[in-house]
Amino acid sequence: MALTEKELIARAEITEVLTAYAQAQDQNEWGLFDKVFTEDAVLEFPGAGIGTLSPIQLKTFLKDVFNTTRISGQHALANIIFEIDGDRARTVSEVYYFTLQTTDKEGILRRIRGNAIYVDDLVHANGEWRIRHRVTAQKNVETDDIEYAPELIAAIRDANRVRWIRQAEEIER
Amino acid sequence: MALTLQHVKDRAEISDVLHRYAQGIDQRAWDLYLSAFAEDVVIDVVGYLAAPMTPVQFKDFLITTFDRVRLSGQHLLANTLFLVSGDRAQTVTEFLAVNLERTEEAGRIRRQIAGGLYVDDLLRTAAGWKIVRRTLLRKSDDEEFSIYAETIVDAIEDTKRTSRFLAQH
Repeated sequence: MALTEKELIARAEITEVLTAYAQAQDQNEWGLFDKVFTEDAVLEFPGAGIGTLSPIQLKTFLKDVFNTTRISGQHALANIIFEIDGDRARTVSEVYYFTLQTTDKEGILRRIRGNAIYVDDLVHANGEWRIRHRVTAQKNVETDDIEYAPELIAAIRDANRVRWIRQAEEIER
Repeated sequence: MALTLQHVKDRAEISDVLHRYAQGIDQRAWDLYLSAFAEDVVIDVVGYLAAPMTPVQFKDFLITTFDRVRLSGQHLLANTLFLVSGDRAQTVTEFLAVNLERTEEAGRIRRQIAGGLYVDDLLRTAAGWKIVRRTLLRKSDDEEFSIYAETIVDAIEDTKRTSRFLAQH
């Protein structure tokens, strides 16, 4: 399919929105999270046991519950299919994810690994794309407990506590 | 953020730089790896290296530390977040690394699966975008052991030995 300049730019802008979600969740960048969804967005997680959430409910769950015991995590996106129709778009993205959580046993981490697809409906309004509906459709998920050396846990925890993502005005410094 | 065609080109060119690093490391194509960097650059692996290294020092560190037993490696990149301002940029990129190593037992292979984050400062130079600082953060580091048939090991060794790039970088 031959792309126009406009379509190329729209794909880049939408990719930034999808990336912003993953970076926000994985780097605890909640200001970035706020740029991803429309206020009235609906987020479905079939089989995850957390029901259907609004963006604020998801942010609260991640920030105040799930990530409080999480020392690191990754949601790596791949193979995005774009269907863009004017100010509306559907994307389907593969995601491989893992997360490491502390347990009540020292040196033992709870590891969750899985693959899923994000099915996103986006809308372009006020000069930006945002997700207004997301389904996280699972493909596989495995949970196990794994032993990590204390110094490795400390290194991961310390590195992931730092806010690495800078603001535009900091780039020129 | 509303993007222009120039923004999209910058992102493509910067992605090329990040790919040159990963391909350079994984294919042990050291000229390709070094082409990702400007001069006077440091690489900092937080919680792993005692002090930051130059790209050449880091290359020598990888060779002397791992290559005696290294069979293959792959650093898949994802989710690059771009912040570009004029001739300067920051990118934040997830990586998932899978590395294979021989053990002392014939056919028994150690597989390392590690996730992490690259935080890069880049500068637009006369030779294009270049990394001027790289910080590598570790997120996970797991290992498994399995038995590989000799034919597979030979094929992997052939992958390692064979140069696949048309151009010399």
